[in-house]
Amino acid sequence: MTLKGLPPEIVRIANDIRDMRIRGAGRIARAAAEALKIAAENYRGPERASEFVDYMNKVGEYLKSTRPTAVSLPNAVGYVLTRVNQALVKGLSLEEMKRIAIESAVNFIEISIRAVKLIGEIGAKIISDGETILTHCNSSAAISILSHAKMQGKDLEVYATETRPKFQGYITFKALRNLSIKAKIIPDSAVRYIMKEVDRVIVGADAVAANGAVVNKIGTSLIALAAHEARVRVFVAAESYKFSPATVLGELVVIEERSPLEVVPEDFVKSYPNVTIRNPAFDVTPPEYIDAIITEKGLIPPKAAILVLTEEYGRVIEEELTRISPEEL
Amino acid sequence: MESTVDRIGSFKIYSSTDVVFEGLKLVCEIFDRASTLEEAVKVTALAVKSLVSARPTSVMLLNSLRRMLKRVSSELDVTEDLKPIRALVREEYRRLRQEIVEASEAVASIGSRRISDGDVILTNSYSKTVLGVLRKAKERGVKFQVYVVESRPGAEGLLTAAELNRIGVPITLFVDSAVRYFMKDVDKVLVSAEAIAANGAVVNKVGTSLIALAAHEARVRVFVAASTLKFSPETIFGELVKITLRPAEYLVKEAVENLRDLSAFELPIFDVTPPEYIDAIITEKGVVAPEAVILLVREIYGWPPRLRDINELIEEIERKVGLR
Repeated sequence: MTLKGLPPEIVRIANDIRDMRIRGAGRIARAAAEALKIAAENYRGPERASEFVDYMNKVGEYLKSTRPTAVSLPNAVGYVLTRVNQALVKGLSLEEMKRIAIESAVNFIEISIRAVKLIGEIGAKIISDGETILTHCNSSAAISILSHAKMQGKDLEVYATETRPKFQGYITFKALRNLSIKAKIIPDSAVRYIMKEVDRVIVGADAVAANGAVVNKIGTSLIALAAHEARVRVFVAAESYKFSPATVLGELVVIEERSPLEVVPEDFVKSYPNVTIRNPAFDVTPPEYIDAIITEKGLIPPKAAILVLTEEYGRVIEEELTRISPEEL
Repeated sequence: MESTVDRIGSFKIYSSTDVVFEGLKLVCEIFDRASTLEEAVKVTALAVKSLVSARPTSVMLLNSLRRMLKRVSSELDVTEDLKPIRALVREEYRRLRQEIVEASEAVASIGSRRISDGDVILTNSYSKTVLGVLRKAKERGVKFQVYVVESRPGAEGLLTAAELNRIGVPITLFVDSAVRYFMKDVDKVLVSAEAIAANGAVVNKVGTSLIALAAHEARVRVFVAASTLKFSPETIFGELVKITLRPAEYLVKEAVENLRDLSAFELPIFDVTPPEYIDAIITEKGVVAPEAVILLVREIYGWPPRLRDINELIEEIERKVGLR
């Protein structure tokens, strides 16, 4: 999807999200809010409020089309656009509406950053001194917990899985080393081997469904299974904007499959025509393998996800429900 | 000698069958090149020790070398000439090689019967035995497809996929962490073994136990294809199979260049799958439950198993040629 006359910065942000130069659900969400702010600041269309709203909605759709799985992306876009659309209903002027768009984008970014910090503070409390922790991929919220625990003077040792195919584990490894936290890298396949030494698993989330199932980097559900087998507790660090209101309405979170070239080089693909490379970016961890989800509002059992959803998105969900009911009845 | 040991130690030779072939060949070459019996024994002692420590997990290597050394030792009671011993070493190499090939073919034959039309078979790493089973099933006209995991560190899954590509079955390849994601589509897991302990636990490429766990959760059957030469009689006496550890650089060399402080820790190459996650072990003597491994061990090694420690055997041979 392309839009004529979009500021190049927005196109760049969209491409960066799609090509994973901007990765991680939190960063993606903040980048999308930033893009909407830029869109509002640079609006050069007809001087009519309704035209502006149309334009903003289109930019929102364009941004949402970049990555299908991260719920934080539509939630960030929704956060800004709900407020813009409400302003239109109220009959506010174009200038007022631009101001509201910019303000809500800035607000979202601030809320998001604060959420990561709050999660760190809450999550750090559950960690005891001397624990060995396993994490997967690269999650700002999970690292925030580890860094807060470290600041509290707790001595930690962290295993970071290397996280194929894109090796985000090395980013985590470096971040932990910079925080002077003892860290080791293990291949994804060694998770069960190492689990005996692990006291706690802490991972991030890309999306949390209405039933408390957590969508996160491929391999998370396997780690949770191995932890479950070894009776090691599993904690998911997730800001409330990662909860998916659409799942309340029965929608499934789409699991994105990415390019084979992230897994093997191009000549491998060409040389072996009978080989299909599949590269799902995420998997779903069922709530029964998760001990708690740590949000900025507090720690909740996964099956209470609906609580966060109705609290945060109650109005959106209700609106959607009234919209779909008449046709389906 | 160094190059064979190095290639085994660095997993350039990965398949445990190849490891045994190369190891035994090395001993043959040592006897061929030596000009005296003492020299041959001296170098062999060194080679055997380095081979075993390069791949301590490979029970088939240990069992094969032990058998060869036992033959040498008893032959030394009859003669002290280099020539007949050299011939004996060659003959034992040929015999062991043939035995391993025949066992592998029998495993392939028996195992291929467990593969049915429409099956999706999941495998990992690179195993001559597993490939044999799949090749045989294809020859029998069974229509199946294979899911192969990349199998880091080492990524031998790519080799397996390449080889299966030639056999002409549809293959799907994915990263190790996607195993649970795809398990719903899988009918059977088929893996190999580096060693099998007395309780039926299977030592194999790291990640195997994770696959078996995910299969267990999804109620997918797990089969291990392995000849009885991979059974470890030592484990009856409480020995643990040593899990090979490798420096972390081995894992990350190709991934991130600027992490130089990784040498501080080591990574496992193998892991142990408990017998409760294994449905059956396919051996050349038939399909057995992992808990019945002990019966085959008794059949092969007697009860209690009569075992010679490989280091004691080396010392005995050295004594017989006057090196001690």
